[in-house]
Amino acid sequence: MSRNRDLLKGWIVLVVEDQADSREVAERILRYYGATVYCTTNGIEALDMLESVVPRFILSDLSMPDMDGWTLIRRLRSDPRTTAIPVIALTAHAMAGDRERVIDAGFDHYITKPLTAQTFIEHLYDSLKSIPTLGAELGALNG
Amino acid sequence: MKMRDPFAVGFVVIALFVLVITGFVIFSYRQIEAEYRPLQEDIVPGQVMLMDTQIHLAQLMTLVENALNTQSTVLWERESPSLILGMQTNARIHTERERHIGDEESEIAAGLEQLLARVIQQSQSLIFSPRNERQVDFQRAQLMANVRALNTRLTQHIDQHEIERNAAFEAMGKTLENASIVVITVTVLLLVGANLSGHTVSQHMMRPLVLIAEGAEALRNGQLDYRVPVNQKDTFGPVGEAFNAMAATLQGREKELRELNATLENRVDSRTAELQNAIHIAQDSLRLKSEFLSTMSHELRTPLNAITGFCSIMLEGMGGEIDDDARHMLGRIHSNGNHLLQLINEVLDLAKMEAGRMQLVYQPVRLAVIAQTWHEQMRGLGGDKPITFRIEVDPKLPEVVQSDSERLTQVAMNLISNAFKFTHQGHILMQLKPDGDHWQMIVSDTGIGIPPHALETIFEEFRQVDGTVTRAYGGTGLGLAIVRNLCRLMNGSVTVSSRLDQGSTFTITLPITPQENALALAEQELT
Repeated sequence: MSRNRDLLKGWIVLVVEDQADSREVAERILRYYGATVYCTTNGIEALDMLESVVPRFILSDLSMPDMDGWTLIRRLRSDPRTTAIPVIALTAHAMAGDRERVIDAGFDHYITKPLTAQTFIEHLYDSLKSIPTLGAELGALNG
Repeated sequence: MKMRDPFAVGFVVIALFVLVITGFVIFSYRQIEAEYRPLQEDIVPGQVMLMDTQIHLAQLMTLVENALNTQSTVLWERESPSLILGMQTNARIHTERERHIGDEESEIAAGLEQLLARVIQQSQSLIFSPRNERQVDFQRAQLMANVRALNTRLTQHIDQHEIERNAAFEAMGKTLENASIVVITVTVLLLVGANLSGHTVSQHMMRPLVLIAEGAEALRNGQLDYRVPVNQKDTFGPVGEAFNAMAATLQGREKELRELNATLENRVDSRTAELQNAIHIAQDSLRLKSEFLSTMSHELRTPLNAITGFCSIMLEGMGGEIDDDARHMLGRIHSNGNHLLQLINEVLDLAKMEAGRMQLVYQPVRLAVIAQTWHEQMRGLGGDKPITFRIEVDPKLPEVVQSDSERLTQVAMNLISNAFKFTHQGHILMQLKPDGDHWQMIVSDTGIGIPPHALETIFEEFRQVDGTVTRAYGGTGLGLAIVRNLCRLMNGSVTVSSRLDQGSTFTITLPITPQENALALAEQELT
C-alpha cells in the first residue's frame, strides 16, 4: 500500500521538542508528507515562533527545559490568538492516567513515542482526522 | 516515785514518740530498699535486655535483606554470629528470670526462646539453602510472619516490665508519703498533747521535732536533698540522724533510678532508631533499585528511539533510495532495536512490580468486549503458519468484572503471543469462564510443549526452557515473569500444564470483585 505523499502538502507544522534526534525524526517524516516544518526546542521558543508563524497544528513534547509542554498548552489556550490551534502531545511512555491528564490539560490528542516512520504517520493521521477543523481538509492517507 | 513529776512524764511521752518515729523511719527506709531491689536487679535490666533483643532482631533482618539483595553472605557471616549469640543469651537469661516468678511466665518466656530459634534457623536457611525464587518468596513470608510474632511477643514483655516498673515506683512513692505523714502527725499530736496537758514544752525541746516534721514535708514534696540540722547532744539527735540517713538513701536511690530511666530512654530511642533503620534499609534498597532501573530505562530508551526512528525513515525510503542489501541490514537493526526496547520496557515493568510501585486502576471490564479486541489485535501473529485462533466466552461468566484492563491485556497478550510463538500448526484457544467467586482465562495451544523439568522455573525471569529456545524463538524471557507478577498483584494466580510435543495450557485465575489490593495490604503490615 503506497502512502499519499501529499497528505500534508502546504501545511505549516510547528514541532516543539528538546531532544534533537526525536525532533529530526518528526521533522523528516512530516516533510516527506509535504509539510513545511518549523522546529523549536522549548515552550518559550515556540511562543516566540508563533508571533510570526501560524501553523495548522503543533506537535509538542511534554518535558522540556525552560518551559515544558504543560505550561505551553496553558499559555496557548489562554491566548485568544492561539487558543484554536490544534496541539498534539508527544508522550514518552503510555502510562495509565497520562492520557486523561494530557487531554484534561487542553491537548487535542497525543502520540506515544518512540516515533517510527510506519506508526507515526498513521497515529498522526488518526489524530488529525478526529480534530473537526482539520479532519475535513485532510486528504486520504493512502494515495 | 517521782514519776508524777510533769517534766518526767513529758520526757517519757516524748521519748516514746521519738522511738515510734525512729522506728517508723527505719521501717520505711527498709521498705523502700526492699521495693527498690527488684527494680534495680530485675525489672529494669530485664527491660533493657528485651529491648536489646528487639534491636538485634531488627539488625538481623537487615542482614538477611542485605544477603538476599546483594546475593552475598559476606556481611552476614561477619556480623550475624555475635548478634545471634547475644539474642540467644538474652532470651535464655529472660527465661531463667521468669522461672523465679512462676511456671506460667516461664512457659511464655520459653515460647519466646523457641520462636527466636525458629527465626534464626529460617534466616539461615533462607540465605544458604539452594532454592528457586518461589521458595525464597515463601520462606521470606514465613520468616517475616515469625519475626512479626517475635517482635510482638518482645513488645508485650517490655510492656509488662514497664507496668511492673511503674508499680514499683508508685509503691516507693507511697511508702515515702506514708512515712512523712506519720512523722508530721506524730509531731503535731505531740505539740497538741503537750499544750493540752498544760505543759509549756520549751522551744528548745520541741524545735528538733518541728524541724523533722518540716523535713518530712520537704521529702514528701520531692526535695530529696533536704537534711534536718542534727545536734548530737539533743534528745532528738538519733531521730534526726535516722531521718537524714533515710533522706540520703532516698536521694541516692532516686538518682540511680533517674540514671536507669535515662538508660531505658536511650534504649527506647535507639530501639526505635534501629527498627526504623532496618525498615528504611529494606525499603531503600528496593526504592533505589527501582529508581535506578527507571532512570536507566529512560536513558537507554532515548538513544534507542533515535536508532529505530532513523532506521524506520530509511527503510521507508524517506531518506532516499536504498538497495536491497542495505534494506535487509537496516531491517535487522530495526528489529533488534525493537527487541531491545521491549526488553527494557519489560525489565522496567518487573522492577516496578517488585518495588511495589505499579499502581492498578480497577474499573468495570466487559470481558466479551475486551476479548474481541484481543482477538483482532493478535489473530495475525501466526503469519503463514496454519493455526486457528479462537476465543470462547462462557455465557455463565459475569458480563462485567472489576479489573485493570491495561494489565489484563498485558497478561492476555503475553500468553497469546507465546502460544503463537511456540505453535507451528493446529489451534490456539482462549477460554474465559467462571470459577466460583473467581474467573479464569485459559490459553491452550498445540505447540511444542514444555518439558517437565522446566515447568517449575518457567515463570522466573530470563527462564525460557534453554538458551536455544531464545535463539530459535526470540522473545525476552520476561513475559511469563511479568504474567506471574501481574496475576499476584491482581490477587490472582497462574498455573501451567503441558505435554511435550502436544501443547501447553496456561490458566489464570482472578477474583471477579477484588477485595483489596494485595499490595496495599502488605504496605499496611509494614507500617
